[in-house]
Amino acid sequence: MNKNIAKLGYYSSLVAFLAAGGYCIVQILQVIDVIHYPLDSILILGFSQCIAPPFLLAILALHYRAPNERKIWSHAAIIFAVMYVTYVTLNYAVQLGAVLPYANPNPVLDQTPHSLFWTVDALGYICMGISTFFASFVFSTTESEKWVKWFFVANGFVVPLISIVYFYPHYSTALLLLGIPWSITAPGSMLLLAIFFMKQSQKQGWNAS
Amino acid sequence: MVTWLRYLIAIVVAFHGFIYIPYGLAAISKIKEWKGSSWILGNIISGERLMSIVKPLHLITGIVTISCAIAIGFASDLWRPLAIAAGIFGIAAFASFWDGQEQQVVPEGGIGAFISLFLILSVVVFPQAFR
Repeated sequence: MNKNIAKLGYYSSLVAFLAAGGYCIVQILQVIDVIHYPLDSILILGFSQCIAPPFLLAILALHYRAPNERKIWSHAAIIFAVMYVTYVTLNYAVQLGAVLPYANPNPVLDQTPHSLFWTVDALGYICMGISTFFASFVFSTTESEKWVKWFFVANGFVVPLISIVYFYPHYSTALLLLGIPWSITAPGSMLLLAIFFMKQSQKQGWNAS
Repeated sequence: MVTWLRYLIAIVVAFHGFIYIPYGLAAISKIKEWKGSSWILGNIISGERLMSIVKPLHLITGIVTISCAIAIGFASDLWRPLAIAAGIFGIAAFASFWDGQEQQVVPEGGIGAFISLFLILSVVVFPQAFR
């Protein structure tokens, strides 16, 4: 594998992991009332935004690493990753730039349950799950790739849970808890992908540290 | 059973378990929509006393269910007693938590109770499934 592909893959997935981890920590701090509005929203949206572009770059690097006969899966993963990044970047830019700074923002732009941007956010995370599911087919079942493969599959399996959280007709705080597995599968997938690229790069004689 | 299918089932069971954990830690007190009473228990136990039962039940269900998922993943025979325990605790958790609001049946654990029931049934119907 080209050294630059390994570098891009490693650093991108590492940043995506740190952002996903940061998001999870901030979410917990919000639930236990340690941080409050608007700081909680700014941090949640900020960390969420920081997951998306590195995730796309990590999937791109994975595509370049994929064996030819499996490139169809990584290509499918890229397509859904692009959709994910587009949806969530649109949403977070609007929330951070046109909603949070204002006392009375345009209600059409506000991400309240079952609103336009609530649905856009849902589509983003559904696309992310589908992307990781497709990407899982790139990995082999060997000992070194088994864990990253199954974490990617697991993140794909979060899609039905995300769909229930966002589209169940009666919003409830309890409903948000159904999305909890994502807080394990998403950072876990990115961390294992970073480790995967690190191991690949060591074979190329590049030391990530 | 083929390995990949066993892993997929383990993932679904693990998800099922993980979802119980936050309910068991602190989140129940944050759920504004919950009436603070149980449809089945009625007025016998409610409010803080009910919460002192509901939270540990969810926490235990989560831990036992995740243990069951690990046992399934490693094809250990322990999955059967763990599945039965997880199923019983899961159904008890739902029974103690659901407040009777039909629109809250999913957020308050309706799907979880169904999976718990399926876990118990799977031990009876497919006892050798993960050999």
